[in-house]
Amino acid sequence: MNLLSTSLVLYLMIGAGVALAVYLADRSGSQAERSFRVGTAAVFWPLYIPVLLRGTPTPPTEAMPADDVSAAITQVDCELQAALGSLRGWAEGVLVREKDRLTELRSAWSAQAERIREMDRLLQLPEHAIGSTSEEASPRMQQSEQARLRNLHCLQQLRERAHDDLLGSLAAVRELVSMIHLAKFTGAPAARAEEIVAQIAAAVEGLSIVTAQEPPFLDGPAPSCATAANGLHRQIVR
Amino acid sequence: MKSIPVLEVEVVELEHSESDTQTAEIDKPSALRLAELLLKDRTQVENLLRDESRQADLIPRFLAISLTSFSLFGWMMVMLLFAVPAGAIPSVLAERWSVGPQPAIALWLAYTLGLIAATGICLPSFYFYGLLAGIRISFLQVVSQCLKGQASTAIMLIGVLPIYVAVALGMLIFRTPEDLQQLVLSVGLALPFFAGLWGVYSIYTGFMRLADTLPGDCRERRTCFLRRLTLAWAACYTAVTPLMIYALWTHFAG
Repeated sequence: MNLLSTSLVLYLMIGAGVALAVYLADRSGSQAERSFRVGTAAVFWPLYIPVLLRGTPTPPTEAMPADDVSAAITQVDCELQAALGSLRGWAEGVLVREKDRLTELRSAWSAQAERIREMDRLLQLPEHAIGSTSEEASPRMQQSEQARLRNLHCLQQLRERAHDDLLGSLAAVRELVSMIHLAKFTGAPAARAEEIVAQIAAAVEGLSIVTAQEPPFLDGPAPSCATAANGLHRQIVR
Repeated sequence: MKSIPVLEVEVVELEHSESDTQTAEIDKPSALRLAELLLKDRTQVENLLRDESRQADLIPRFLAISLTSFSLFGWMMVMLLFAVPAGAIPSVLAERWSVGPQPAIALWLAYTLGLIAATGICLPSFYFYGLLAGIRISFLQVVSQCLKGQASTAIMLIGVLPIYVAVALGMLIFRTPEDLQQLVLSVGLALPFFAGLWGVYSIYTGFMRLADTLPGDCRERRTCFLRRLTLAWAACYTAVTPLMIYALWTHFAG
């Protein structure tokens, strides 16, 4: 065996290993696609090493429940992607610059939706049903029960506000998306598109600010409500 | 924010299914669609390549385009070499050439494997050139950019091949002198390198677009450096590829 033959044997041995790894790592696509990937990985393994080393793409952590909020997020996200896609060849620089913030925006929407769902779950628990306090209960018990009802009311308000803010943010982005289309077809300069995309990306900060703000009802008359709601708010934010 | 009208979520399902289909088409273009995009809309290909989640999917597709085209070219050259008299075989092949399956398969393998394997050899240098220039690039992105260049070469080769075959067949039909036939066949063997100029241009433009990842204050200076490095890489690849093809040819032809 000459040097080239020996090298080829070694090369193909490594190739066989890489082909096996490719087979195990990625089973997506049709049978023909998988066979092609494995076959070419054995021969052209240097091209597949980076694909293997990049690791398995992280699957979405959890499928988003099919409720109205998640449907609205998906719809607005699709519209946003389509609008951003139309920027190609016109104002692409801003896409690169704002890529991270746009990804963050989607995450912020999902996080807010999850927050709302969590509050809904809490409010629907049977033990959180609003009942009447017995006349015979001691004043201490009556006071605690009233505080509990106040807290539940605060939670309900917090949920409504989070819901309104999320839908408001989605509607604002939708409005900006329509402005992108309008700007494109009215021959506006690329700078205008960049400005709109920057506003969309800034929506993530809007959501974060809303989340971080103190709820307005915390300065209400009952200190126990404020304390409880503050604690709850901190917990949800965390 | 509250003054903005609230979304109408009832219409979501219908609109969603349509946009899903569109998104799927954009997300995972087939090899044929990718070839079409390379011809008609290279900007979109560049945008696809910049998305890290799509790079791994695009690599086998670019490879499929390249392999198909280079195989077609290899077999076309084999047919032409079979058709010409022994005296017209280019000197680089003449020593090991005969009318039979082994040289035919050897030539096909040498071109198909050699053109792509040479990319594998040059990849690390391209990666380091990118890092030297300061652009933000991953090894996976380097691979996908190089394979995009290969696929562009392959498409150009397929485009040029019918013209070349027409010329070569005309030469055979009109029984031109053997020296001329030898010259035309030698040009044919070098055809992937001529077509490769378009591939180099494709890689060049792809890397130049990555220059926007450079810091603004030194972008102009670094872009110039990157341009030179890309051309240096093209020269390196052009030097390695014929050697690789020749080494494989001599090995397989026995």
